[in-house]
Amino acid sequence: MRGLPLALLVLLVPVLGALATPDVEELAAIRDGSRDRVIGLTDDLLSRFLMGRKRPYAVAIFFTAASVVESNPNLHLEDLRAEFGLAARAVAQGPDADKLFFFEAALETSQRPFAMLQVNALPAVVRISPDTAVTQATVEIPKSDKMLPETVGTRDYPWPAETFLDFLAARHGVAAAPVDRPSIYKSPLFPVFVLGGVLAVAYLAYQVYARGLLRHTLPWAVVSLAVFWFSTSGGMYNIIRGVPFFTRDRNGNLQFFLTSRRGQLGAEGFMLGSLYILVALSLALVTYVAPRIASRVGREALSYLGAGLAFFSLYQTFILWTAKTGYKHVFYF
Amino acid sequence: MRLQAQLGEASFYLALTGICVLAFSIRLFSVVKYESVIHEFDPYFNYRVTQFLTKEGFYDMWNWFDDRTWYPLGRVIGGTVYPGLIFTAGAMYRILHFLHIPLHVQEVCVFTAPLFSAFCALSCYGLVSQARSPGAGLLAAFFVAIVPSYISRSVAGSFDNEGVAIFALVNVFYWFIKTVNTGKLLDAMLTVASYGYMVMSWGGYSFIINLLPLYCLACIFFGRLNGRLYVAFAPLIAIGTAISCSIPVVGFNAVLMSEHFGAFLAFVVLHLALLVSYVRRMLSPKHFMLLASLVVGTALAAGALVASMVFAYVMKSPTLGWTGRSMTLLDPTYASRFVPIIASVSEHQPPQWNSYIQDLHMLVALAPAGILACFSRLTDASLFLVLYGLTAVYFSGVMIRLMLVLAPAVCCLAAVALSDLLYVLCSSLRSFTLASLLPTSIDTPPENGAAAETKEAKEKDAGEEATPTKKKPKPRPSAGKPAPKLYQLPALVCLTLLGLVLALLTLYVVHCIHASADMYSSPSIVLQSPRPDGSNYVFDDFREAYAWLRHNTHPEAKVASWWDYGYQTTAMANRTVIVDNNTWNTSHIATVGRAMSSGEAKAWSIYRSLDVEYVFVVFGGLVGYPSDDINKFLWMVRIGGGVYPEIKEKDYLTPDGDYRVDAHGAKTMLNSLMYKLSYYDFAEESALSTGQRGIDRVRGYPIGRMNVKLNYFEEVFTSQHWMMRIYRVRDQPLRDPTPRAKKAGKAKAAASRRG
Repeated sequence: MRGLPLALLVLLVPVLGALATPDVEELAAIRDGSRDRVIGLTDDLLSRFLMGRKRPYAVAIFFTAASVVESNPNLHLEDLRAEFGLAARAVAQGPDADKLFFFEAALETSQRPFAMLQVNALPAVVRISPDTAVTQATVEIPKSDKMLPETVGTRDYPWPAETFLDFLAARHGVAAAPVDRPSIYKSPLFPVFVLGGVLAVAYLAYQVYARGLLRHTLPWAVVSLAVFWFSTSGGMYNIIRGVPFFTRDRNGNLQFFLTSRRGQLGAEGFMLGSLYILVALSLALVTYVAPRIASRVGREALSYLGAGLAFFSLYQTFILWTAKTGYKHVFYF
Repeated sequence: MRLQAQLGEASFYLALTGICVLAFSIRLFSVVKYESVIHEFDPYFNYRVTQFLTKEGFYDMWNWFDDRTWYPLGRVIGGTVYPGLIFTAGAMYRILHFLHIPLHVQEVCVFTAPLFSAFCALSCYGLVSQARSPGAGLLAAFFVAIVPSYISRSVAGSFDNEGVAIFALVNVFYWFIKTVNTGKLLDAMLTVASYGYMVMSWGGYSFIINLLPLYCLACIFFGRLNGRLYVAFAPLIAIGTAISCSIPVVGFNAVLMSEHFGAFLAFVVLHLALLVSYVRRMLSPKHFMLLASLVVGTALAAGALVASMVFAYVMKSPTLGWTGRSMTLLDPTYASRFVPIIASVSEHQPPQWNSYIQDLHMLVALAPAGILACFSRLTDASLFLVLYGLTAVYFSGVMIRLMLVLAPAVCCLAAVALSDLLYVLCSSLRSFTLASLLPTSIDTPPENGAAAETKEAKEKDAGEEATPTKKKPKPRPSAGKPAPKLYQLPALVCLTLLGLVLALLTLYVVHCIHASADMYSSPSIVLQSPRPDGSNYVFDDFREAYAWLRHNTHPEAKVASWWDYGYQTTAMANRTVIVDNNTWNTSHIATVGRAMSSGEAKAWSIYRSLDVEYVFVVFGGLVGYPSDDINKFLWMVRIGGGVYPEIKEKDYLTPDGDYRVDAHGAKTMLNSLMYKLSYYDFAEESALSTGQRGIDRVRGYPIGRMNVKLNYFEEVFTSQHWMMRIYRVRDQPLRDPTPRAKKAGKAKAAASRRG
């Protein structure tokens, strides 16, 4: 008689287990139906697939809120979300597709996940490991499972899909397929486009050459000035350092000019480059255009305009230079 | 009239001499303000080799194997150095001593760069007077004599390759353009010789060997191909390449590296173009068309084959056959991704906009006008000026160091623009004073058109009134356009603009003097800081410490430091170093970087394995000297981590990615050897000067660990202002109270005993 409760227990365990285990296949079906393998988290999904003492899979939740996305463009939440989607796709195509599911919790859809996981700042991505108990109350997630700026760092922010995979999958032994970024190079039509482009360019180049357009000096002069303008503006600096064209200060006003000695914004460099070109153009106007105009009024007007422009742009150049570096000409006499 | 011409000529030569004197003397501020001393880092190596040359002679220097550096590897000096500067200084030394002028070799080295700046002004004069007019040439010489960008690398004491190389560069251009204008074989030979000197002097010769082919192709494209161009270009490629092959440091790179392929391509294209024009002359147009379509058809097929072969060959090498520094120019992000040792040098950074106006002043605004001026009357020579300016300005945008190559180009272009402007203004004014006597004649265009130009051309005026017409009538088919009629500008505009030009020139001179006197004269081996009473306080810590090493250590002792100080150590302390500024072996440098960023015990074993006896660090925290080793430390970590993956940059940063040495700093950072050697005993010393323990005056906050203990290293010398701290690597570590370190230490000690 002592064996009966034991046998009952043995019978009960699989039944309870079946009750507690969510249906992985259904979840996988939902995932495969979603746009980029990221499942929108609703209250229903939350209680069906996340609640419980354990799950046969881990869960990664990306938190987002439309109001934050709109008001803080410098958080790059949309880029981040796209990379998260790429990571989700990579895992879904990998061998361990059913060991890690990707969710997106939007504040507008449901506020429960935010409260449960105590997310009050974005960006936040949380990984819930399979043996973490999720109940109605708050869930304590160790800091090493939260992707926050202080745990992952901001050096390569917005984090690329590889960082997501590293943090969410590879560290926990979940294998993923390589990240497949959508790219024009992978399109089957790409070689056709390239060939067509090359032929079109060759034909255009031949036409331009045959009509002698390139023998004129004017287009070359414009190109030369453009190269000069770009280089003296520190355009290369902008590219290599990836500096923005302008920033916003604390009050949200646009800022085009940094008055500190170190660093530059894209706009301020091009401002100065344009001033140099303006000086040159106004002097060239006086030197080469004005003296060749037969009409006295036109000639005088042009030369006054040239002289005024030259003076104004030189003055502006020196003013801006002083504003940037605090430099003043030092007379020793 | 004859007297006037003679006076004009005299004042012309006087102006040229004055410009040369100006170029030389504006670079002497460093000697006047400091002393006659070799500057910075690389010049110390050049100085040491020159010393060797004057003592041991040419052949010994050519075959010199230096065992005092890159221990235990050593370095073949003769085969790895651009010898132009050293030979120049050595030759000057020999000549002076032959004339019984007993100058010390250091003085010769100190004054080499200013002397060659004067020569550079002369070549610039030559170049622009070939391209435009002697008046513009004088202006160009004046500009280049005092342009701050060039001053920055050629002040007295800056004994570096650039000191002679910029002269050599402009000199090649001058002879080349002269040959293009005259078509004389003698000039072509001089072009080749000056190119040889350039290759000997500086790695920047690859700029020339790409610019001149580009110019050649542009000439063919614009239909400016003629025999003179061939005489100028073909010998340069054929003989010039042979010359560069015979300079060991270049060697077969001159035919193997892709940097030179453009020259060969242009060489082939030039011959083909000449052949085509010859055949065209021989055949009737109909036959020529037939032949052309035949040849083009087969050539396209063959060309595709050859191109794919070259492509495959080039793709085989990881850098596509280009050297790292050249890749940096073409793909600006290359260095920051692949070559930390190139990226770590501050002169390889891209410049911000304010660098241009600081180093070139108003010339940067005048140069585009010069480009327009060249296009307005395009000749072979002015086409070259435009191409030179454009390529140089693009490359300077990638690497701040190449601002040096840009400076002469901008000077020439600005001179052309300014001289044209002054010509228009002055001739307007001149006719105005005549015309104002007859008020009715203002409306009629005064006769200062083509007639005035030729009149002016006859006057050899040394002033700024340039004469844009060519002096010598040259056989140039394309320059046959008559000059259009010029009308007079209003006097007010002329006077205003003349005033503006005068003000600009004054500001330019003032700025250049200021730049030379205050910005670029510091030798960086001796530092000054102004005192309240106007005098200067001198920091001479570096020489103090090097002298200590020379007098107090064994002559065979090995000294380790970061590579920046390698040349100075070998030259001033005369001790063997592990790494130096010739950064040819990255893994060796990475080993030193790894030692500096490891903990004490590990660093000790690394240094012991390299036989290092002394380690020194440069430290600025006590007096506020910002370019010290703590500020360079992240580069040591990056370069070390590039070879030894155990060193990770993020271990040395705070979680937010900041680099700090205070209490928030990363633990690995505060345990690194660099931190310990820099801040050993620092807390007490800073309490004496700042009143608070451990305040670092560069970083501006208290340091993270006050009580630094050293068990494997022993402080032997710290200079007066703590700027250089020398430590001895102990033979055996001290007994350590903490058990783990003790155990490790014992194991290491046992290992070293066994070794």
